[in-house]
Amino acid sequence: MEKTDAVVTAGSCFAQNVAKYLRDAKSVKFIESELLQADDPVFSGRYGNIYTARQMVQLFDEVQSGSPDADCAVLRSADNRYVDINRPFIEKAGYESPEAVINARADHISAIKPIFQDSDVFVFTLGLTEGWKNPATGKVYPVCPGVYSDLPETDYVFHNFTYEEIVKDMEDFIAKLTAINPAIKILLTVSPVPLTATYTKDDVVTATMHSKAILRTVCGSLESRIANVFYFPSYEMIANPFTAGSAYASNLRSVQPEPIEAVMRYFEEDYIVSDGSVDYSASDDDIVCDDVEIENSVGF
Amino acid sequence: MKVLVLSGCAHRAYIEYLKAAHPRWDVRAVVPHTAEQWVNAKEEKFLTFLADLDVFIGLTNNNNIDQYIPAKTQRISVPTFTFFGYHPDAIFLGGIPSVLERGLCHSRLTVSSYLDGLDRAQTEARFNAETYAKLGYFDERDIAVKNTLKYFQQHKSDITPVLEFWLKQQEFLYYPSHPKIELFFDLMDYRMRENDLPPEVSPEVMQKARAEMDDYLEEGVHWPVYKEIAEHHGIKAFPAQWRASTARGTGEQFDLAVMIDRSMTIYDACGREKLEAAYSTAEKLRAR
Repeated sequence: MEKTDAVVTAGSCFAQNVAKYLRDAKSVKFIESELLQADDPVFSGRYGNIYTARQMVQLFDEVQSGSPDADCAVLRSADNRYVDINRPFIEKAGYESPEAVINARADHISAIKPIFQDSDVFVFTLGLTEGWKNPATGKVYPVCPGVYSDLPETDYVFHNFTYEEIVKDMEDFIAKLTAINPAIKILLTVSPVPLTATYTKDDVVTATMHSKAILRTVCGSLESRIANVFYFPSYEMIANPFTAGSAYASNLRSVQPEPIEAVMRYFEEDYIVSDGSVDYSASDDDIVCDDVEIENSVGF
Repeated sequence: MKVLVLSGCAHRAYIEYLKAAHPRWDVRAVVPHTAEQWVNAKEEKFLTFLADLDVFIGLTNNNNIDQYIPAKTQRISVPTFTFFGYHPDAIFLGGIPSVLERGLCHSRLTVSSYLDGLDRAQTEARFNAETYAKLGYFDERDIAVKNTLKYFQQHKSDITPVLEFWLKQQEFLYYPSHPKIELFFDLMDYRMRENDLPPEVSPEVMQKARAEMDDYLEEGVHWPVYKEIAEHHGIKAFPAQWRASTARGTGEQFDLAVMIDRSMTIYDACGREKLEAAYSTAEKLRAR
């Protein structure tokens, strides 16, 4: 990434670490399409955590259509305020009415349009295979609606996305994104944060390993086949067992700050051409080319 | 039209291309370290030229020079072309002189054998198809293709057609960073067309210019494409042997046994610790 590159981030909660770093980095232009509120997850817009590939495709399609999800308003059981089912924890105070939710969503999808059209680098962190969807429409939700609402259980069902489904969703997203922004580079990462709980019948450790294996394999498949897709191995740096000590905090879920800093140092080293450095190729040139006597200049 | 090329050993080829394609342009070139010296010394002639520059070509991410380039100047980034796909055993070790008399190129197998404590005969025995397969040398072409394309994509260029053409040629590189000179001609042609600056002369004139280019890198050092690797990819083992520069060295050509012998003599002289450090750094850089 060069200092003129406009960078966007989206994805699961771990992606916020990358986002925070990029937002503070002077060496890239981090796109903030909306003014984030104090408690908002740090991304390039107020879309909240995007845990699944399907959610990402869904958001992209909605933005491109220009029409907000007409069914996005849902009543929050705790205080009878309305929230946006696609980002239920954004706007903590909730909304007065369903119309207010839809209006806010219309503003939101309009505001975040530049993150797809005007970015040079799109950093996306794949977080989960497990999700919840509307059985009638197929729409997916970031969080099980029953956690915060009294929606009838028939309105949403559990769905554990398969490798094939995620690859297809990601291919779909990448193709659509590249179609409107041909020069874009897509940098994928996998969240190293394990599941807190699973809705499958498996133990949560088994479910975590299953999920991470799929997401990592999806990234490998996409990176090897699609020229503008890259993979940054933050997952391996945090989750691999072949290091002394653990990168995880005592709750065995959160990642400690020092390993995150180390990951971001590698990120900077490998991806960002900082103000003070030169292109690796330029220094490489000196090493490689010193065997042939060349003219130092022509025409001066 | 005032044009500056900033590049390493490719700059002469780029200049030849640009002068042929745009005979009326004022095209000049400079290598990065000289440009930086001139900037630091506030070399008036150079800075005056930069102040009125129309097109800046080559290693355009040079921060030292950047501040003197006007905002209106069109920038065409052409990063250094390096392709290890047919030279998977070659590696550049900082501070360790090469058997080629100039430069820093070494054999990975020879360095690792030396560090493993193998003698010359044992090292030579490692140079075979079985070892290459185990080390993944046969897979390095595909990796190099991907890396090269990605690297150019980072500079907003898709050079797939150029690379595909050259991968089909029997004679491609003298050394991982020294292709046959026509490749630089083709690369510049491609980048200029990508930036809506095609040649102003006829295709025949360009074809003639390409054919008459001085292949100055041929006179430089040669690192062979090992015959097993060439056979695997269905290309000619070109170059077939190691060779010192004919322009700036003895021009001596030598075989595997001599390469190993001379390399190990160099490693004895530089010391194990220095070699280990250089090798470790080089492998890390190569993996990137």
